Amino acid sequence: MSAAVLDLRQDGRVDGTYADEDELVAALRNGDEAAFSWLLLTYDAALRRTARNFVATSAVADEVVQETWLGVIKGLDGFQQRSSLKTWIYQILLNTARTRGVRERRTIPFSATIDADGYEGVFPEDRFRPDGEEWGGWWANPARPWEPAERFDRAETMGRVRDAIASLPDSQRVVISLRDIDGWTSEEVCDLLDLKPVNQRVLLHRARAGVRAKLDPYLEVADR
Amino acid sequence: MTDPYEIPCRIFVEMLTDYLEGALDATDVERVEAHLGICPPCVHVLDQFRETIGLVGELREADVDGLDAHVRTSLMDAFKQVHLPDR
Repeated sequence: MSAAVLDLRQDGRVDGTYADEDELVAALRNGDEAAFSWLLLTYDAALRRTARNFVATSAVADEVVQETWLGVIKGLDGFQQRSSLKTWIYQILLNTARTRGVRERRTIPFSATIDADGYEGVFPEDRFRPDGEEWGGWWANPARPWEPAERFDRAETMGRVRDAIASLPDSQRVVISLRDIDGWTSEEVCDLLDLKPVNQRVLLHRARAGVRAKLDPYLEVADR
Repeated sequence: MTDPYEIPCRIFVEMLTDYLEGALDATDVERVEAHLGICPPCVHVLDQFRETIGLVGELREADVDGLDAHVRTSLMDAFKQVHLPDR
Protein backbone atom coordinates (compact mmCIF):
# COMPACT_ATOMS: atom_id res chain seq x y z
CA MET A 1 0.00 0.00 0.00
CA SER A 2 1.34 3.40 -0.88
CA ALA A 3 1.61 6.04 1.77
CA ALA A 4 0.11 9.52 1.69
CA VAL A 5 -2.41 11.38 -0.46
CA LEU A 6 -5.62 11.35 1.45
CA ASP A 7 -7.46 14.45 2.39
CA LEU A 8 -9.24 12.69 5.19
CA ARG A 9 -7.54 14.24 8.14
CA GLN A 10 -9.23 17.42 9.17
CA ASP A 11 -5.97 19.18 9.82
CA GLY A 12 -4.98 18.57 6.23
CA ARG A 13 -1.97 16.40 7.00
CA VAL A 14 -1.34 13.79 4.39
CA ASP A 15 -0.17 10.84 6.40
CA GLY A 16 -2.90 8.40 5.49
CA THR A 17 -1.98 4.87 4.63
CA TYR A 18 -4.26 4.44 1.64
CA ALA A 19 -3.54 5.74 -1.83
CA ASP A 20 -7.01 7.22 -2.20
CA GLU A 21 -10.48 6.99 -0.80
CA ASP A 22 -11.54 4.21 -3.17
CA GLU A 23 -8.75 2.06 -1.85
CA LEU A 24 -9.71 2.81 1.75
CA VAL A 25 -13.40 2.09 1.15
CA ALA A 26 -12.54 -1.13 -0.65
CA ALA A 27 -10.31 -2.17 2.25
CA LEU A 28 -13.09 -1.43 4.74
CA ARG A 29 -15.65 -3.42 2.79
CA ASN A 30 -13.19 -6.25 2.61
CA GLY A 31 -13.00 -6.39 6.39
CA ASP A 32 -9.55 -4.83 6.72
CA GLU A 33 -9.31 -4.25 10.46
CA ALA A 34 -6.35 -1.93 10.08
CA ALA A 35 -8.46 0.27 7.80
CA PHE A 36 -11.28 0.52 10.30
CA SER A 37 -8.84 1.10 13.13
CA TRP A 38 -7.31 3.92 11.08
CA LEU A 39 -10.77 5.39 10.49
CA LEU A 40 -11.49 5.39 14.23
CA LEU A 41 -8.15 6.99 14.97
CA THR A 42 -8.67 9.64 12.31
CA TYR A 43 -12.26 10.64 13.00
CA ASP A 44 -13.41 9.61 16.44
CA ALA A 45 -12.12 12.61 18.40
CA ALA A 46 -13.30 15.07 15.74
CA LEU A 47 -16.74 13.45 15.63
CA ARG A 48 -17.12 13.63 19.39
CA ARG A 49 -16.03 17.24 19.47
CA THR A 50 -18.53 18.10 16.75
CA ALA A 51 -21.27 16.05 18.39
CA ARG A 52 -20.88 18.11 21.56
CA ASN A 53 -22.10 21.09 19.60
CA PHE A 54 -25.15 19.15 18.47
CA VAL A 55 -26.40 17.63 21.70
CA ALA A 56 -26.74 18.69 25.29
CA THR A 57 -23.99 16.81 27.11
CA SER A 58 -20.67 15.20 26.27
CA ALA A 59 -22.01 11.86 27.55
CA VAL A 60 -24.83 12.02 25.01
CA ALA A 61 -22.31 13.14 22.38
CA ASP A 62 -20.18 10.06 23.03
CA GLU A 63 -23.25 7.83 22.67
CA VAL A 64 -24.23 9.57 19.45
CA VAL A 65 -20.74 9.00 18.04
CA GLN A 66 -20.83 5.32 19.03
CA GLU A 67 -24.16 4.96 17.24
CA THR A 68 -22.63 6.79 14.30
CA TRP A 69 -19.81 4.27 14.08
CA LEU A 70 -22.29 1.40 14.13
CA GLY A 71 -24.17 3.17 11.33
CA VAL A 72 -20.93 3.48 9.38
CA ILE A 73 -20.20 -0.22 9.83
CA LYS A 74 -23.69 -1.20 8.67
CA GLY A 75 -23.83 1.32 5.87
CA LEU A 76 -20.42 0.79 4.27
CA ASP A 77 -21.61 -1.70 1.68
CA GLY A 78 -24.37 0.66 0.59
CA PHE A 79 -22.18 3.79 0.54
CA GLN A 80 -22.47 5.15 -3.01
CA GLN A 81 -19.44 7.46 -2.77
CA ARG A 82 -21.43 10.33 -4.20
CA SER A 83 -19.95 12.45 -1.41
CA SER A 84 -16.63 12.05 0.35
CA LEU A 85 -16.32 9.45 3.07
CA LYS A 86 -15.95 12.27 5.59
CA THR A 87 -19.20 13.96 4.52
CA TRP A 88 -20.99 10.61 4.54
CA ILE A 89 -19.80 9.84 8.08
CA TYR A 90 -20.90 13.30 9.25
CA GLN A 91 -24.29 12.83 7.59
CA ILE A 92 -24.74 9.73 9.73
CA LEU A 93 -23.61 11.73 12.77
CA LEU A 94 -26.09 14.50 11.98
CA ASN A 95 -28.95 12.02 11.48
CA THR A 96 -28.12 10.26 14.72
CA ALA A 97 -27.82 13.56 16.59
CA ARG A 98 -31.13 14.72 15.13
CA THR A 99 -32.88 11.60 16.34
CA ARG A 100 -31.40 12.14 19.79
CA GLY A 101 -32.12 15.86 19.62
CA VAL A 102 -35.78 15.23 18.86
CA ARG A 103 -35.97 12.91 21.84
CA GLU A 104 -34.34 15.56 24.00
CA ARG A 105 -36.33 18.41 22.51
CA ARG A 106 -33.36 19.93 20.84
CA THR A 107 -33.58 20.01 17.09
CA ILE A 108 -30.75 19.74 14.65
CA PRO A 109 -31.66 21.30 11.35
CA PHE A 110 -31.05 19.18 8.32
CA SER A 111 -31.80 21.79 5.78
CA ALA A 112 -31.00 24.77 7.92
CA THR A 113 -33.41 27.67 7.78
CA ILE A 114 -32.39 31.27 8.04
CA ASP A 115 -35.73 32.90 8.72
CA ALA A 116 -37.25 33.74 12.04
CA ASP A 117 -34.16 33.16 14.13
CA GLY A 118 -34.45 36.53 15.81
CA TYR A 119 -31.38 38.05 14.17
CA GLU A 120 -31.40 41.83 14.49
CA GLY A 121 -28.02 42.78 13.14
CA VAL A 122 -24.39 42.82 14.26
CA PHE A 123 -25.39 45.75 16.49
CA PRO A 124 -28.78 46.89 17.76
CA GLU A 125 -30.46 49.50 15.60
CA ASP A 126 -30.01 52.23 18.22
CA ARG A 127 -26.24 52.14 17.83
CA PHE A 128 -26.73 53.93 14.49
CA ARG A 129 -28.27 57.28 13.53
CA PRO A 130 -31.82 56.89 12.22
CA ASP A 131 -32.40 56.84 8.47
CA GLY A 132 -33.59 60.19 7.16
CA GLU A 133 -31.39 62.13 9.53
CA GLU A 134 -28.05 63.54 8.55
CA TRP A 135 -25.53 60.64 8.59
CA GLY A 136 -28.40 58.14 8.79
CA GLY A 137 -27.02 54.60 9.21
CA TRP A 138 -23.67 55.85 10.53
CA TRP A 139 -22.58 55.34 14.11
CA ALA A 140 -24.50 57.12 16.85
CA ASN A 141 -22.72 55.14 19.54
CA PRO A 142 -19.58 53.87 17.83
CA ALA A 143 -18.05 50.45 18.37
CA ARG A 144 -15.13 50.54 20.74
CA PRO A 145 -11.99 48.45 20.35
CA TRP A 146 -11.34 45.28 22.34
CA GLU A 147 -8.56 44.74 24.78
CA PRO A 148 -6.09 42.09 23.59
CA ALA A 149 -7.45 38.70 24.66
CA GLU A 150 -4.10 37.88 26.31
CA ARG A 151 -5.03 40.30 29.10
CA PHE A 152 -7.91 38.06 30.15
CA ASP A 153 -7.96 34.70 31.86
CA ARG A 154 -7.84 32.18 29.05
CA ALA A 155 -10.11 29.64 30.70
CA GLU A 156 -12.74 32.28 31.37
CA THR A 157 -12.53 33.67 27.85
CA MET A 158 -12.91 30.21 26.32
CA GLY A 159 -15.81 29.48 28.67
CA ARG A 160 -17.54 32.59 27.39
CA VAL A 161 -16.88 31.62 23.79
CA ARG A 162 -18.34 28.17 24.46
CA ASP A 163 -21.42 29.64 26.18
CA ALA A 164 -21.90 32.12 23.35
CA ILE A 165 -21.91 29.31 20.78
CA ALA A 166 -24.23 27.21 22.92
CA SER A 167 -26.76 30.04 23.04
CA LEU A 168 -26.98 30.40 19.24
CA PRO A 169 -29.98 29.13 17.29
CA ASP A 170 -29.39 25.52 16.18
CA SER A 171 -28.65 26.11 12.52
CA GLN A 172 -26.19 28.90 13.31
CA ARG A 173 -24.46 26.77 15.93
CA VAL A 174 -24.00 23.87 13.55
CA VAL A 175 -22.59 26.08 10.79
CA ILE A 176 -20.13 27.99 13.01
CA SER A 177 -19.01 24.73 14.63
CA LEU A 178 -18.20 23.08 11.33
CA ARG A 179 -16.63 26.16 9.76
CA ASP A 180 -14.77 27.89 12.55
CA ILE A 181 -14.08 25.04 14.97
CA ASP A 182 -13.72 22.00 12.73
CA GLY A 183 -12.23 23.93 9.83
CA TRP A 184 -14.62 22.67 7.15
CA THR A 185 -14.80 24.53 3.85
CA SER A 186 -17.99 26.33 2.88
CA GLU A 187 -18.50 23.77 0.10
CA GLU A 188 -18.34 20.88 2.56
CA VAL A 189 -20.86 22.56 4.88
CA CYS A 190 -23.23 23.32 2.00
CA ASP A 191 -22.97 19.69 0.90
CA LEU A 192 -23.58 18.27 4.37
CA LEU A 193 -26.47 20.58 5.28
CA ASP A 194 -27.91 20.93 1.79
CA LEU A 195 -27.51 24.70 1.93
CA LYS A 196 -27.06 27.25 -0.82
CA PRO A 197 -23.72 29.08 -0.48
CA VAL A 198 -25.43 32.41 0.18
CA ASN A 199 -27.49 30.92 3.02
CA GLN A 200 -24.45 29.24 4.50
CA ARG A 201 -22.77 32.66 4.64
CA VAL A 202 -25.86 34.27 6.20
CA LEU A 203 -25.89 31.64 8.96
CA LEU A 204 -22.15 31.95 9.50
CA HIS A 205 -22.41 35.74 9.67
CA ARG A 206 -25.25 35.68 12.18
CA ALA A 207 -23.39 33.12 14.27
CA ARG A 208 -20.16 35.13 14.30
CA ALA A 209 -22.13 38.31 15.02
CA GLY A 210 -23.87 36.53 17.92
CA VAL A 211 -20.61 35.33 19.45
CA ARG A 212 -19.00 38.76 18.91
CA ALA A 213 -21.92 40.45 20.67
CA LYS A 214 -21.65 38.09 23.66
CA LEU A 215 -17.91 38.78 23.96
CA ASP A 216 -18.28 42.53 23.47
CA PRO A 217 -19.05 43.60 27.05
CA TYR A 218 -16.26 41.35 28.32
CA LEU A 219 -13.46 42.33 25.93
CA GLU A 220 -14.41 45.93 25.16
CA VAL A 221 -12.05 48.58 26.52
CA ALA A 222 -13.39 49.98 29.75
CA ASP A 223 -15.06 53.39 29.96
CA ARG A 224 -12.62 56.12 30.63
CA MET B 1 -12.25 56.60 -6.93
CA THR B 2 -14.77 54.77 -4.81
CA ASP B 3 -16.78 57.10 -2.61
CA PRO B 4 -15.95 56.07 0.99
CA TYR B 5 -19.29 57.50 2.10
CA GLU B 6 -21.29 55.24 -0.20
CA ILE B 7 -22.13 52.57 2.38
CA PRO B 8 -23.10 53.55 5.92
CA CYS B 9 -21.74 51.66 8.95
CA ARG B 10 -24.98 49.74 9.56
CA ILE B 11 -24.69 48.20 6.08
CA PHE B 12 -20.91 47.82 6.32
CA VAL B 13 -21.00 45.60 9.40
CA GLU B 14 -23.45 43.22 7.70
CA MET B 15 -21.03 42.78 4.78
CA LEU B 16 -18.12 41.62 6.93
CA THR B 17 -18.54 37.87 6.59
CA ASP B 18 -19.01 38.11 2.83
CA TYR B 19 -15.90 40.28 2.77
CA LEU B 20 -13.86 37.83 4.86
CA GLU B 21 -15.18 34.90 2.81
CA GLY B 22 -14.11 36.50 -0.44
CA ALA B 23 -17.73 36.46 -1.59
CA LEU B 24 -18.02 40.14 -2.53
CA ASP B 25 -17.62 41.35 -6.10
CA ALA B 26 -14.77 43.73 -6.89
CA THR B 27 -16.98 46.83 -6.60
CA ASP B 28 -18.19 45.90 -3.12
CA VAL B 29 -14.64 45.03 -2.01
CA GLU B 30 -13.61 48.55 -3.02
CA ARG B 31 -16.58 50.03 -1.16
CA VAL B 32 -15.75 48.07 2.00
CA GLU B 33 -12.08 48.99 1.87
CA ALA B 34 -12.84 52.65 1.15
CA HIS B 35 -15.16 52.67 4.18
CA LEU B 36 -12.45 51.11 6.36
CA GLY B 37 -10.13 53.89 5.30
CA ILE B 38 -12.29 56.57 6.89
CA CYS B 39 -14.09 54.80 9.76
CA PRO B 40 -12.02 53.65 12.79
CA PRO B 41 -15.00 52.14 14.68
CA CYS B 42 -15.74 49.88 11.69
CA VAL B 43 -12.06 48.87 11.65
CA HIS B 44 -12.57 47.78 15.28
CA VAL B 45 -15.57 45.67 14.25
CA LEU B 46 -13.57 43.99 11.47
CA ASP B 47 -10.79 43.27 13.98
CA GLN B 48 -13.40 41.87 16.40
CA PHE B 49 -14.79 39.53 13.74
CA ARG B 50 -11.27 38.25 13.10
CA GLU B 51 -10.65 37.91 16.84
CA THR B 52 -13.96 36.08 17.27
CA ILE B 53 -13.08 33.62 14.49
CA GLY B 54 -9.68 33.03 16.13
CA LEU B 55 -11.16 32.45 19.60
CA VAL B 56 -13.86 30.12 18.28
CA GLY B 57 -11.14 28.23 16.40
CA GLU B 58 -9.27 27.67 19.66
CA LEU B 59 -12.10 25.37 20.74
CA ARG B 60 -10.65 22.97 18.21
CA GLU B 61 -7.82 22.40 20.66
CA ALA B 62 -10.31 21.47 23.35
CA ASP B 63 -9.47 18.21 25.01
CA VAL B 64 -11.46 15.25 23.94
CA ASP B 65 -10.75 12.08 25.87
CA GLY B 66 -9.22 9.25 23.93
CA LEU B 67 -11.59 6.60 22.64
CA ASP B 68 -12.60 4.38 25.54
CA ALA B 69 -10.83 1.02 25.22
CA HIS B 70 -14.04 -0.98 25.75
CA VAL B 71 -15.92 1.08 23.18
CA ARG B 72 -13.06 0.63 20.75
CA THR B 73 -13.06 -3.11 21.24
CA SER B 74 -16.81 -3.40 20.78
CA LEU B 75 -16.69 -1.27 17.61
CA MET B 76 -13.86 -3.40 16.21
CA ASP B 77 -15.89 -6.53 17.04
CA ALA B 78 -18.96 -5.08 15.32
CA PHE B 79 -16.83 -4.27 12.29
CA LYS B 80 -15.40 -7.79 12.16
CA GLN B 81 -18.87 -9.34 12.38
CA VAL B 82 -20.30 -7.30 9.51
CA HIS B 83 -17.31 -7.17 7.21
CA LEU B 84 -15.70 -10.54 6.75
CA PRO B 85 -12.44 -10.60 4.81
CA ASP B 86 -12.56 -12.34 1.44
CA ARG B 87 -11.13 -15.79 1.69
